[in-house]
Amino acid sequence: MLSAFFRIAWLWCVVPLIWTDGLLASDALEIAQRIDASIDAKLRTEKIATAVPAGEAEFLRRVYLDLTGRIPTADQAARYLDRSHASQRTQLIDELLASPKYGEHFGRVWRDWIAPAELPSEGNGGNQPIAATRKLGVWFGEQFNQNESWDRLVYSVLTVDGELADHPQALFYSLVGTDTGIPQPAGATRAVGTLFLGLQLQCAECHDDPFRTWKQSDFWGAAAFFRNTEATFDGRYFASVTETFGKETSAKGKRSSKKTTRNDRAPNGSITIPSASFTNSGTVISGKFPAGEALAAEARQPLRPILAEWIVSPENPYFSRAFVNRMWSYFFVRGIVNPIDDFRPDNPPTHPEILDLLAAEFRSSGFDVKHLIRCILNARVYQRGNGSDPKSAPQQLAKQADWFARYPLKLISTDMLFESLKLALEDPGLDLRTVDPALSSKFGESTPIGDAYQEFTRLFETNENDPTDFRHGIPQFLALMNHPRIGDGGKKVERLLKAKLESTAIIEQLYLGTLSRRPASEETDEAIRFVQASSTPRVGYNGLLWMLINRSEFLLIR
Amino acid sequence: MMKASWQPCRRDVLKLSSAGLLTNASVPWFEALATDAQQQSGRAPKACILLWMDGGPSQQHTFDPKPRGEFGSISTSVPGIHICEHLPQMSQVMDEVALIRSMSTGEGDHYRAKYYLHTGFQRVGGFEHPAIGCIASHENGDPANDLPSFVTIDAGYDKGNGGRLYRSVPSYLGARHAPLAVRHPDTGLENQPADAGDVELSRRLALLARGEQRFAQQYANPLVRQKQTAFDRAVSLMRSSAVTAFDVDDESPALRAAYGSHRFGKACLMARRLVERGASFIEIFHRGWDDHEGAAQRVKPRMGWMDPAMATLITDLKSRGLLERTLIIWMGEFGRGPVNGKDHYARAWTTMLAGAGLKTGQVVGRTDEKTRHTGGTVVDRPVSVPDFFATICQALDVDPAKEFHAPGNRPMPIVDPDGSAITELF
Repeated sequence: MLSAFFRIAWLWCVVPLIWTDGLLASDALEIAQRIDASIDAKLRTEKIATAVPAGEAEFLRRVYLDLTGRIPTADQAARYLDRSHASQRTQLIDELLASPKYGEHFGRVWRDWIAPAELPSEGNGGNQPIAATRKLGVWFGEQFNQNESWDRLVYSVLTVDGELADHPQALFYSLVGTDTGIPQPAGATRAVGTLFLGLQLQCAECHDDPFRTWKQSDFWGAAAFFRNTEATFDGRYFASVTETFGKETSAKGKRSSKKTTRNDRAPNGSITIPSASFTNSGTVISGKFPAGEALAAEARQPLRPILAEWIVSPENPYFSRAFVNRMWSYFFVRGIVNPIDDFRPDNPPTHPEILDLLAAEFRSSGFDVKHLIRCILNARVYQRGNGSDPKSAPQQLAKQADWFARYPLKLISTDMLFESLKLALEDPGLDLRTVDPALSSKFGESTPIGDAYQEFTRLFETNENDPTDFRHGIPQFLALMNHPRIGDGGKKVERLLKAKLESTAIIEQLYLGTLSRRPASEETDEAIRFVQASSTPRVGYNGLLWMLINRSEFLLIR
Repeated sequence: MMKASWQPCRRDVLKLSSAGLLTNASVPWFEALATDAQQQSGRAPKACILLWMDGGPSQQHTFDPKPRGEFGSISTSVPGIHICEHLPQMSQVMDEVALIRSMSTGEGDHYRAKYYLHTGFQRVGGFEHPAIGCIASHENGDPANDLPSFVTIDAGYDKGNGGRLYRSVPSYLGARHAPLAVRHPDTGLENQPADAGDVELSRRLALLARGEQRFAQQYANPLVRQKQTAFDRAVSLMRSSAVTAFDVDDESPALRAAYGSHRFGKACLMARRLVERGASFIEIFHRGWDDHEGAAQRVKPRMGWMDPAMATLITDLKSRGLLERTLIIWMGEFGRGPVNGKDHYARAWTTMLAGAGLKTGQVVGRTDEKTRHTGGTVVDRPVSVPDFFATICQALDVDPAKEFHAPGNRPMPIVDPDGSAITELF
């Protein structure tokens, strides 16, 4: 037990906490330079060639999609591409971070990390409360837009107490830890480990983890902090989440129509391993911080705030690193530690100095999320290109990706695609449903037809953890190819034709509004010939817009 | 070998060349991809049609009738086997059917049981097992086929209960093995154009192909190849004769009448057409079998469409020589409580298998005949979920012991090694 503690404690020792914490945050550009110095030094030692820097058009589309979850409009693209001053990339990053679309986007990203949109999420029996989940995403988005610090935000999620109507973050416990309406400490423990600490505790739920140092008692020791969480269940999610500390939980756990709580006779501050677990069910485990010390026995005190304070404390080496690593992985598809939720001594970071640098900077900035993003995005490592000619060896490309010598090509997420299609077609009410929801009960559909957004999400679901995992197949491309709402040009072509522009100007507008760049001369010529051979200009431009939307370049982040 | 697929059909090539649009009639990106394609084995792989009765159908009101039960029983084409009186057509094909009356699975929660009976594994935190349909697609699917190898068909519902439907997830097997969902047998394949050979569409595709070729030159990346392959599969299917599999109106009126006009019958007919064209796994689901108010009143009208559709599916496959290589499974996530069928019941329930060269015309396992709670206990040969999955795999020529590498470098066998196939069936 003691040796396990020391193995875990390495992180505490290696980190020069005292040196950096408490100082003022540094300039983001300076941090960016230090990131690059570290990355480049590794590339030199490993003798890995660096990809050429991304061009302005690539950078523009990439940063719009990464930060605001949508492509720029044709006007926004043209305005940026026509600028030419040295700090225009830094300026664009700042502009986008100030846009409300930034929070809206990251709210959705966190919503999907907590509860993937369509796959059954952990512990909720597959009964996904879609409307409430969206509200949780909106709440997260508002926090990000106000640039609420990450420690306060997480504290507020973990300690939530009250009605869902007043505290949308209460839904967190519904999404991660309910089993037929009863709060499940195990689900909350898994989620907190994965999302906020970068620790995969889940294997230890049922047995000692053979690959990590976690004992089953470590998992349930952490779960003990959630044992007093009580909820009212409305059939799909918790309508309120409260704490029953002190009140000795009634001997037979109740599940009345109102409150639901677990049946556990163990004293406060400890928990009984439930029967669903493989081994040791019935054993009482005392509270213990994840990878940390035992909870001092404090019987009549709410436990979640104690855990939350420990988690968000600047002294906690996992909290800041887990977030920094997750954000790094969001942009680069690869964390500095991989998998991103598997921090442990046997799984070392590729660039420990960057992890330490950014974690320290994140803490000393007061867990300022926008500042962290500025530090990363202003680095050259974010601004590299990703083109490669067919002659390059795949191993070399893979090596470049592993060491951040090139920016990875990524598939745009479901939400990015939905928002971008709306912009490209100028169709804010975009709806690709093929069945009228009003008629779905008449037709006896087994699966109720959701609204346009839900059905779009179902169809174009992507892997929220890995944008290089290509998921689209026949149904997705049949929709993009043949749905009239895409093939008929939307309001976009109509507006351009009314404006009576030259054909080259219309073609340029269509390229800027989809691929966020101007067409190459070859592309312009091709487009002109295509439109001329069409029965009417409208048919021609509709076809051109259709072609741009069906391009790989549209579906990918370069 | 994967066929170098989307090329404009001949009619288009003529139109396009006369319009001066097509400079190069082949689309080179596909040729590069053809090398990735898997080698195909000689023998036609097995197919499977899963008839999923969502919510948990009552065994005593279908295939395990009891003396003094709410429904009477009838004799069948196999002496000694009796089934419920409302299944007259099924009784005539009992020689093609094996009943497993001793399913003993222990999971009585709808969603957990649906997961269990679709994947062969209990649902655990932080891990998603691939569904059997995805496994069949992975193991038996033909990558060169224009048709997706796994298709689900929604046969509707008569009650919206029984909890959320399980959606088959390929997990670490890859998105290619995700099911193509048919929402309604009448509408068939969604977003299929009325005229896939339309000249305007062909012009657009030719324009797109040129841009795609240039992009693939600039970005030699798996994502680009995967997008172009998937897109190409959609174009191929759209233009392939295989797409007619989704249109059951082609069939003779007599055969359509035999399958019945209910969505379930149409779905069964579509499934046969898909099997004929090489699909590996078709799941038809009908929702509403969670009959807490008692099964008798609810199940009887369902037999009116279920009985003819299932019996016709068996005879139709047989007459086309397809039954030998097609496994039919009828089941839900569990059965229902003894006698009245009001409750979820996972201790003793029934599934039906047919085809795939199994030794049919027999019953595996037995439930009790006590006077109280008749049929509530398995008295002979309990069959667990791993046993059942080992049986399905063996019937489909899939090696149940084959291991995949799941995330975290975790070796995952197709079937839990605790399971062993029901030897009496082989």
